[in-house]
Amino acid sequence: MKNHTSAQISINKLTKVFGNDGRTGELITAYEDLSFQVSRGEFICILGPSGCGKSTLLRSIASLEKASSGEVQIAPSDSGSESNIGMVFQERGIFPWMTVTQNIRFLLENNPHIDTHDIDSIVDHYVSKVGLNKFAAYFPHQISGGMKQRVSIARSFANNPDILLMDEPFVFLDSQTRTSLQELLLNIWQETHKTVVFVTHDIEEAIILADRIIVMTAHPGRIKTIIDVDFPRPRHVSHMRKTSQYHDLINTIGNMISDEISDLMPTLNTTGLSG
Amino acid sequence: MKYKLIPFISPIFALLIWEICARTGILDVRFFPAPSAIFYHLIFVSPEEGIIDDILASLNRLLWGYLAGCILGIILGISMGMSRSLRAAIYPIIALTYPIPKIAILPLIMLVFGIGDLSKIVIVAIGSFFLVLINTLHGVDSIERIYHDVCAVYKIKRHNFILKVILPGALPAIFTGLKLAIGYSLVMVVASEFSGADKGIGYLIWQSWETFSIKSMYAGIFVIGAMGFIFSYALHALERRLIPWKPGVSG
Repeated sequence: MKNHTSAQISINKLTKVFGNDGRTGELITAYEDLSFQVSRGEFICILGPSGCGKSTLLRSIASLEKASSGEVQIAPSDSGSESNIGMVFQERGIFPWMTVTQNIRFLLENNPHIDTHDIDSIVDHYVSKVGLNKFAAYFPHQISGGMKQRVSIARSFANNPDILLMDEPFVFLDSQTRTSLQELLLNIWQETHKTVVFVTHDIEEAIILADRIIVMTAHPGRIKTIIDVDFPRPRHVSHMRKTSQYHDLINTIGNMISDEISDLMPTLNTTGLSG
Repeated sequence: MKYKLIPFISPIFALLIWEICARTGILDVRFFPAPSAIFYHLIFVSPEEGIIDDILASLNRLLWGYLAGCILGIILGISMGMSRSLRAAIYPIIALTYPIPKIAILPLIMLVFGIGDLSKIVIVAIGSFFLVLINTLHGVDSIERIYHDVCAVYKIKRHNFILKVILPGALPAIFTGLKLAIGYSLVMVVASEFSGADKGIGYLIWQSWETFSIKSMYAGIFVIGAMGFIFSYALHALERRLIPWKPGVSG
């Protein structure tokens, strides 16, 4: 299945240079000469320190940002129509003026591929899937950060995208909440097998979630290496953490990017959000 | 409980001091009649003098002008917020005309629209329009980019984007404009009635000054104050209802 013909996303020599900042006339390269493919149904993690342009790359795939050179090719969906892309943002991606249910509904109502009659049942299904039944009528400011990201995930999966892009969705959550949301994501993904591109700077998160990890360097962002993660699915975070394979993989990747990480440790701590 | 009572006690206390000062002769009652005398006048004398007609006349001018100005301000503010070219075309005109005190163009408005109700409605509308427009535009600008991104990724239809994202996103700022505009509208309606009117609260106040009917003048001032209080309260209640997601506003 993971061959070139079934590639759903093909990135070819993609480079993004931000224009000068006006005063110095300096050009800032976000990422440079990226080439990789994502197969249909594959879960890819892009792992890199902040400043490696990984979020910008995701925005380029989503057509929110135009690359400077190279190309992004998105294969048509199974039905032959243009692929439907979904995105989960770092935080605040859900609308504060809509309740939990309304946030999910709103996207579905604007999706021409979803039958109006099905919307109610889809919304109900995903609200309970992410465990927010009791909070369905709550506004975002009344629920916790973890719950907001549950809404964000529910909303994206409910919309039935062909490709789901996730931009460090758990970065602002405490580690317990993060683990439970990773479990939730694995669980929903297991049922739907969407093509996912997930950006993170957390090695463990990448190992837990990904089929393949694309490790990036920083300043400018280039692909350092691509690692296959051979853990069987369905996966469970707690089980994985008990295996030596898991810890070996952390060490392998850790060593591989230790030079990057040690260079970037200070920046990671202070500005670690803009990746 | 304590903090709920204070807002009621303090004005009563102030009125009480005024009453005592007036009665003991510390205040000259020709200029500062006792509050009890003013309220007596307002309730028993002013209706005979036709204050109800004055109130209705002012309310009529105020509400039509306010509604027209606010609606136009919201529509143009959202449109300018959505369209760069429209903003580029209109913003300089707004920036040039906004600082002109609106009362300064009242004679011009009266020249164009006559000395009847229409010129007063227009001047109230103009004043409200600018305040609501500028705040609406600010509200649209303040909507975070992430919501634009979400709508772009999920291909949200344009009318849904405007009605369900831009409008609610700008609503808190729009309400700031609406609240400023109601205060400004009261100023404009009273000022416009000082000249070229034959009824209205502004007319009543000016008339009372000319005839030295100090108590009638105070009655008019009190009515304007009460109107301002009621409208602010109504807008506040409306805001709570329309913006349940605003932290601190929802109950």
